[in-house]
Amino acid sequence: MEELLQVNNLEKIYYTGNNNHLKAVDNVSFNVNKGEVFGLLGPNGAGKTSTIKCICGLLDYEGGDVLVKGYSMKKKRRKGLKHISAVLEGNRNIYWRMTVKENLEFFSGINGLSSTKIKERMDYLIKQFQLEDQENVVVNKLSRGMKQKVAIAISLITDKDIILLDEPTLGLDVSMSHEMRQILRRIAKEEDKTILLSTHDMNVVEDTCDRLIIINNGQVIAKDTVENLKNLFNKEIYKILFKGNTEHQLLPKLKNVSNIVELQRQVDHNVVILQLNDANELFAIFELLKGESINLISIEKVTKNLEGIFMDLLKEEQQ
Amino acid sequence: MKYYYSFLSIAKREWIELRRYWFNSFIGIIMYVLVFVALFAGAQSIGQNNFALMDSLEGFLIGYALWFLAMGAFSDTAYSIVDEARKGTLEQLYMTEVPFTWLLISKNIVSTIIFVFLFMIITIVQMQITGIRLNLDFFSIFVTLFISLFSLYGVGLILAGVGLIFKKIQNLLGATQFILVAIMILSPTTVPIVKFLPFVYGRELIMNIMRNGYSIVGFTLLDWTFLIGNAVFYMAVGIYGYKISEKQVLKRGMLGQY
Repeated sequence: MEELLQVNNLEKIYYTGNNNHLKAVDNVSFNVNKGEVFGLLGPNGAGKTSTIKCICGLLDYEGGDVLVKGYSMKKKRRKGLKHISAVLEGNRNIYWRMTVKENLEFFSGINGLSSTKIKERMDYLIKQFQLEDQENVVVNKLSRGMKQKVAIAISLITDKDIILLDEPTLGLDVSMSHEMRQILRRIAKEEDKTILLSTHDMNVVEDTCDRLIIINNGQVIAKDTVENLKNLFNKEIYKILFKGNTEHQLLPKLKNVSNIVELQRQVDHNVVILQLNDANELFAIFELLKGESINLISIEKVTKNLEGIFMDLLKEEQQ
Repeated sequence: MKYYYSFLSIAKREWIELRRYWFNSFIGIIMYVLVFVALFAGAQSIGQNNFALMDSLEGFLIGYALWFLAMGAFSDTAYSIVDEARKGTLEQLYMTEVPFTWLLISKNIVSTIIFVFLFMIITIVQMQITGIRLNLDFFSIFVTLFISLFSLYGVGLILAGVGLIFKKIQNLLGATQFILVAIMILSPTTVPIVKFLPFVYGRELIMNIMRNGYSIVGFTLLDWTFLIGNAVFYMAVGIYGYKISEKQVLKRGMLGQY
């Protein structure tokens, strides 16, 4: 599989005065294959935007290198830019006083494409993004979601291989965010584009990405496919709800046969979250519960979504 | 062809903005003409149709129109770059396949054409108001202005670089008005050294064209050398200065940070 984008030991340092500095990107490495949707997940200030800006040549970096189709963004920036387009910081990078069509024509033009050459593609994108009714409307008058659609359409008009999207669903309402995720999936599939997106929204990654890295404080803390990460972190976790005041006797016994992740004392019941090595250990748990004078409410298996995994990883990092 | 299509795109965008927001430009011209009328009437009432004063009023008319034009050219580059950074579109312009410097030069060429037409229109309006007759050799004025304005764009580029780093440069741009007044007053005939300043030699040539019927056909080799040399020198200095600022901006990640 062709590796269109290679990020090798990338380092970005911001000097904050008085000899102080902040390492925003610290030894980050990953590769993105052709046709892949790759996620860059992390909390605010993790270094996602800095990484994206280093990739598209808008930020000089101190260490490592970014190769776009083999071209170093440090030494052959312009050649690398032939293969990259980006939507940065939500939808700020469109001309709000120009219409949708005028924007599409302008951005293709400044990339050296004639308006006759892109006419067919422009019509196709307007249709794909359902912007037919808005094509002659000044962008300023469009909703936030519509503006975001226009921004992504602009990134596609020049038909470059790699699309970088910085927080593509930021500030969108639930239905528009869902629509945007569908759009991103469609672009990757139908247009065979390589997409690198940064987000702190786990749903976006879960719905659209093939692989991801999770970064925090500029460092990679996990790198895998979405499926693998979910499998890795979704061990045998069970949630037991019961009524009764014997938890002081029950808990030490439970600790002997399992790993207690959490204990919550509610007003009328207690909750114990257990992590088992094997589902067969449940038999021992049942035996223990049977011997206690408690009123069992429920036992359920807990499945973690990416958000849960993400939170666990951050907690682990902090510890 | 890439350079040609990118130039056309910039030209089209400028035209769209001018057409869509014509009212703002129109009011600007009206205000300019009103201030001119007030100043001219004041000067006339003091001079009481004195011949020597009428002669200097010709210079005042051209100088005032050129000052208006130079103000626009001077701040156009600086303002447009800072404005693009504020809007977030500057980063997109940096990600094109053609160099950003070319996009800037394209914008300057388009702006110059617009500025020259504006200059001709306001000069004709001023001539109608004052009754002063001037030589409107459009071709000579156009060529001279077209070349000489690039020296001001060069200075504008340095200001743009400063603007990207320090963000707010309104006061600095305001102060340039006074520098420009000095440039409009200083004459290379009386103080030869000032011909090395940006725009001064071009302005002197335009004065000669409009007042004395001078034409580009009659330009000496020295005229062409100073005119072109001055424009190329200040544009090169401007690009170099901007590149220094750009290096800092790309290092600090301030290209779209507002």
